[in-house]
Amino acid sequence: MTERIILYFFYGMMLLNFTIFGSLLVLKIVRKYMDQIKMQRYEIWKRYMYDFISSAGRDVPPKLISSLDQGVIEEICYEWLGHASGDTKKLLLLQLTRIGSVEKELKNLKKRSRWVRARAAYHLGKMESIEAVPNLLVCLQSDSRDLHYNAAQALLRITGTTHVEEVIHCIYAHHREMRNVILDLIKDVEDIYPVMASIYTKGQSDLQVIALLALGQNEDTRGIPFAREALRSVDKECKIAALKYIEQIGNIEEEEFIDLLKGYKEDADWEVRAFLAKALGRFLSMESAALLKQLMGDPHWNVRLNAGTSLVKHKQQGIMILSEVLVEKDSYASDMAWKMLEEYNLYVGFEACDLQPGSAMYEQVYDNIFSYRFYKEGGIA
Amino acid sequence: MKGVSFLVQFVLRYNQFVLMYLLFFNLMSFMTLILSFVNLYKHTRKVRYTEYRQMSTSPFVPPISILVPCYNEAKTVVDNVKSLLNLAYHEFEVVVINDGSTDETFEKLKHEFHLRQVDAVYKKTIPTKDVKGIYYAEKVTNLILIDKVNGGKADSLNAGANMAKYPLITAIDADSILEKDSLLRVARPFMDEPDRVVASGGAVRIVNSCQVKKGFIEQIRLPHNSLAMFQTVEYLRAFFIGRAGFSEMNGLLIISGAFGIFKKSIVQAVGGYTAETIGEDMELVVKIHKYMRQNKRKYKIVFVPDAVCWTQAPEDLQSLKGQRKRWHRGLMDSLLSHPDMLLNPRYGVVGLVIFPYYWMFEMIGPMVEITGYFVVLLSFVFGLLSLRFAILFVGISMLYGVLLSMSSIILEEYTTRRYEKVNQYVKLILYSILENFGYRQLVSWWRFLAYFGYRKKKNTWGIIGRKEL
Repeated sequence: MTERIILYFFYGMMLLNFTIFGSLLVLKIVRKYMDQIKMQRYEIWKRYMYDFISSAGRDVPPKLISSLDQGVIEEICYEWLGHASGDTKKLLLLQLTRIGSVEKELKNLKKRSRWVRARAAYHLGKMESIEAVPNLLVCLQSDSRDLHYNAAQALLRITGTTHVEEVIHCIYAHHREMRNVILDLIKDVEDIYPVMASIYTKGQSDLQVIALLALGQNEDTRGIPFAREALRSVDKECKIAALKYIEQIGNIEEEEFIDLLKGYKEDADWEVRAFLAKALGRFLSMESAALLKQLMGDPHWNVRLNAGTSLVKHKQQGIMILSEVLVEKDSYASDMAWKMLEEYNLYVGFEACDLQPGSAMYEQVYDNIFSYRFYKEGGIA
Repeated sequence: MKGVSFLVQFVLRYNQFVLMYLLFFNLMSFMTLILSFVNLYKHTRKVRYTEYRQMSTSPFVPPISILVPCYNEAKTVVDNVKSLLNLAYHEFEVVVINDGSTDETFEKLKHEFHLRQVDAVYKKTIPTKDVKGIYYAEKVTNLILIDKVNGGKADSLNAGANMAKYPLITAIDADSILEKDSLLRVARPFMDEPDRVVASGGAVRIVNSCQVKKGFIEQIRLPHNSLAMFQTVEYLRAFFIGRAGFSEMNGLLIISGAFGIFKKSIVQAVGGYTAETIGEDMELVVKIHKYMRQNKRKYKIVFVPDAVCWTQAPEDLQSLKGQRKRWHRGLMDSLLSHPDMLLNPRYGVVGLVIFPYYWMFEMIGPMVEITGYFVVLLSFVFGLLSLRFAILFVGISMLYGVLLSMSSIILEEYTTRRYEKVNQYVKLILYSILENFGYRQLVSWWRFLAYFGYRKKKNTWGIIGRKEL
């Protein structure tokens, strides 16, 4: 009896193997054949689309097209939409509407499968379909990450700033850690200030951080008062966001700003000091360079690294300060300064910052370097 | 007479044990297969709307330090570093670690990239052997070479991690070739779940017989060499079933040393790669699981099937034997170093499912298999063997093995589809059948040999004859 069961099992396995092998073989041949057909159709429709765009959309496509052709045209349009603008973009969107892609995806957006809906949301976003907005807002509330993310992306593409606040609140509610994802999503939205100002003034510190980073990303100077306020916050993340904002904006021509920044050179958190050092790289003034010189003596390696990098951005003045740090007693500071000088000379060259041989400054820098090397190699300082 | 009767009883009992063992193993592999289908289904759905081209220029993609440890890799290292420098990624650095090579590895790198020694700051966060010098390339700002005293692969990786400036590190073997967008694909999980994902690994494929130009794959071919061909089938099964299935359970225990990304802070927190072991890649992942579970932190270690890295497989028996013995000893090292994790509910699925699986089927498996063959012989001698039953049993085992291999080929077809031609498919199936007649037994034998002369935590660089590609 047992042997008979095993025998049947053996035959069953044989049959299963042959069936899978055969089906996969057929599938492979069919896919190969379909790929070839698709490639041919792709070339045909690509030529057609060129003509369609160059004739400003006057050519009407054939009324009946197969689903294969529809897929191929969609593929071409989606690919071209990635780098199209103006009239070309309009024509591509028109073509997608004509062949029924918008309608198809609108139906898909209501289906049960979250994968189908996620894909539909993604395509509707690419097609900038206004009709999809109500359903996309529903999808935004979904627990599925893919679905609400794609819906958020689509909404921003279609409506610009209109739903930015909802999108931020939704993504933030689902994934607090996804700050970069939110910033990535909103990076192409124009004039984000009104929304970010509204978010900032509501006072929730995590969202204030996002608002500051978004404004910094857009280099929007209207955020300066927020940055000033955030710097005074007790929240570390807020202070860092403000410093990141300042770094993005660059030379803020307000004297008091440097005074305000000076207060953070001894902040208890090394991250704050490190971002301060980074931000100072965008303030090309004597005061900023002097502050960076002090930060070169910071106990934390990252702060010294950022201070050194920022000093290099001060060019001649920064190089001079770095060479001065070389001969100071603090060996951590002098080693970092040497790393910076060495890298600068390797990749850029001292000549690039007008340190010409023979000038007093040039002599001073080389004197300092010589003293440092001499000391390092066992000489007398 | 009493002795013979005892032996007969033993043989009978052992046969029953092997039968149960195989049934249990097949059940586990079937479950893993189902999970791998689920994992890869979700992945392929997701990939359809992931814009990797845009990601390659996005400032929000986390920057990566690529660590390339090398020891006597003069034949391939320059091309491989060049290909790494051309990867589609927003911000990255390549840190090559020359682990006291005795060939021209260092000279070739120095000459090709115009390297200049600098007094860079080397923070020994993780202890390593002495660093002889740090070199920057004159024209390539994101290339660093660390020249150090020989200390093994793990020691080199630790030196690289100490020097790395970015929050993510990836270890790539100097003889491996990445596809252009592989790094983006394998880094994607860190963007999706930055607080959860601590490591991710890609799929490793066999590059033998592929057409490679200047460090990039021009044409994908199946190996001409039979031994490499068997390994191709093995790799497909291991990655598309094993890794994908375990990843679905969040129980991935190995991220291949050839291609994986780790959070630098976590690597440092667990003390870096263990220098005294052969299987430093597995050991690191085990340590990460242990650390995260002990600290009750939520985390994920994921497998990304379409992030592909191509590597050379040994084409001669001697190299393959050495490789498999090393791998098995590495596996034993990791499992025996953490006996407290076995069947310990504190470590969740890793302690209760994955560790027992590795102990029972990966570590002890070769012993059961080889002794099983011997006991079958004894059964035959004692007249206990029903030939018909034995043939059916062996037949079913083989058919099941072929079924698993075919499943992995189906999964490959639906995820990465690197082998497009019909004849490639037929060749893969053919080798998945042929491997049952000698190759698998040989590999088991080598793994069985690994038990002998095994000394805990003894480490050397694996040496495989490399070809210039």
